Amino acid sequence: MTHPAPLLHVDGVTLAFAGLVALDDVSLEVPEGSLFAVIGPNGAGKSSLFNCISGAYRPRSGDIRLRGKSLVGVPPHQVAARGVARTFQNLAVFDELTVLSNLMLGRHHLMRAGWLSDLLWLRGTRRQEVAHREKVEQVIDFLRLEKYRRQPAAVLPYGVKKLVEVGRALCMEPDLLLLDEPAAGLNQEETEALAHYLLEIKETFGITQVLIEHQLGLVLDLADRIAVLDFGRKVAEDEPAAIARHPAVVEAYIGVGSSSEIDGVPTGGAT
Amino acid sequence: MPIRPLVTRYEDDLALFPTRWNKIGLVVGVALLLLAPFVANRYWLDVLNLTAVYVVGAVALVILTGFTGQISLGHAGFMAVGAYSAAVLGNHLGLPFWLVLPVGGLAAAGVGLIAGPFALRLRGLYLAIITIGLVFVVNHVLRSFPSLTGGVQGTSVPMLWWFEPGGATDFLGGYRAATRLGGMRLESDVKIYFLFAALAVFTAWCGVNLRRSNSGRAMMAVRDHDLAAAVLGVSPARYKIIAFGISSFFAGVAGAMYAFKSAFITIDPPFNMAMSVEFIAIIVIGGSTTVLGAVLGAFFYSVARPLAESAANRVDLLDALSSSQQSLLVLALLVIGFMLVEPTGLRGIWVKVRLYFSGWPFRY
Repeated sequence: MTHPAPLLHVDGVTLAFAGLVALDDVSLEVPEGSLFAVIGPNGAGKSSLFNCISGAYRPRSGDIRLRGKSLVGVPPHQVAARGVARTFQNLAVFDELTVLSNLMLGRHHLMRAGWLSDLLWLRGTRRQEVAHREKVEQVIDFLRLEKYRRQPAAVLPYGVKKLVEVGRALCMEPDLLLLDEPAAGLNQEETEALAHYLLEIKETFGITQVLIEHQLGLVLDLADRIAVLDFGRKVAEDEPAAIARHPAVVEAYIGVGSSSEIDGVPTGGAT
Repeated sequence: MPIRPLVTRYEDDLALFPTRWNKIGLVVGVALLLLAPFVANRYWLDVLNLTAVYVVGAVALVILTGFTGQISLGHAGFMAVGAYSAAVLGNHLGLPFWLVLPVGGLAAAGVGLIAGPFALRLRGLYLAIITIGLVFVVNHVLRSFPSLTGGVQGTSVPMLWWFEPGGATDFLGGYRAATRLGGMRLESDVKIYFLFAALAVFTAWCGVNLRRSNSGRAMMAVRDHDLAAAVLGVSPARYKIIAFGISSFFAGVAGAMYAFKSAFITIDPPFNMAMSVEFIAIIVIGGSTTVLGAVLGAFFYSVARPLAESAANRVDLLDALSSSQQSLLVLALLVIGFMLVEPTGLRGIWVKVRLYFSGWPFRY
């Protein structure tokens, strides 16, 4: 596998909340077009890392660069405009809005008509609604959300909500997609479908993905490269096969005393 | 008969009145709006005119509170700015009525844009308290310039000059004089009615447009989950400010309409916190997150109030209350009732009725 220039550089990022060090000198390089996974136990700093990249937190030191341009100190809505999309660990679909409106919001940063045009339903707004609807329908096709189109997100099953959130991120046509535990709470079939979608997002859409996931089997199958965080520190980074045998991983993730052979360990029904 | 025509283009999907039943409803609604002033007597025409003021004000509040989730008790302040801008500009600068309506709105929007930044750092009840302050500040400022605003005595609104230029000089004679239009006699109240109805329809249309377009979706995203909105590229600050601006503009227009309707305005009452609460109650009764809810709530409240007052006059104990106390009582009971029985408001009832009939004769 050849990955040319790294799309995302995380360079010595440290983040602390009043003495609690959430991230301690974490460095990552995510190559363009790859599926990069971040694993680690609860509280290891995985979501904090995402919050730093997407602009919700400002790291105390270190730098985060997308295509060489620093993202540190850029507010979240501008990070989005630069091509970073993310999903949330705790669902963040807009419950009152229909699936269609949720997905149309993914197009927000590409929409140009102003509020006055929207208020008076001028031609710019009407054309924009139609043009972006076409893109949104492609995502609906891809994720097979057709029958949920008009339903408010609140009434959808959990697994569909998760997909809607991924779809909303896809509608942004991002360069970098940050997925925070997309498989959490999904059943076996839904997880299986999700795995296929993630692979297809990589292969067909060519979108670089960073995946946080607890289902080790899923991560080992999908990821090109895996980084392991523990107590805010990066303890390992390698190809999946090597990660599965890495002593630090076994200690941090599976627990001390487990066999170093991970293949036989139940992985929550991911594969 | 098909319930909904097959949609083959995305343009058709954006139509406000897509189905045959929607179109029939539209025609019936327009016919009712046009006929109402000729059917209603003077008293109920007055109620209808007040309803139009409530519709504009309630839609304005829905844009801010319903769409964007910013609870505001400053609505009366914005309306006072609109009302007094209209009166003062008409009295002192001689601006025509069609100009003072938008200018009153813009003045209120200016105040809204000053108040808006506070909304960026506060939310929920804290914002509500700050916006209560706004009502008192506006009222204080209005009282501080008695030469312009008449102070506590209030000021007249140049209805005569606006609607009967060159007509009879006597206020009542001129303003009350009927206009002939194609063989029909239009009383002054009827003239005001058509102006108000057009404004109410326009405001509701703007609200609906906002909700079905990008700006409205962004506002609702900010309301539901501001960080999720931000990572989609929605700037929460920007859309809160836009919502404050649009909402206070229409509140100002509603205030100017109120001034037109009253022909003579004072500061407090009516522009006090009770009025702000009244508008919150209207959108709660209607169903607070949609334009339809605002319109239903406005109609329901403005019709329920005179009915309740006339009913109260027949009960000894309630008869002792003043009319404003009676309407407050009605309002309180309505809000409590809706919160207990139907928190989604009149719109929620409408949705349930529609669901029942779309599935009829099946019960589930």
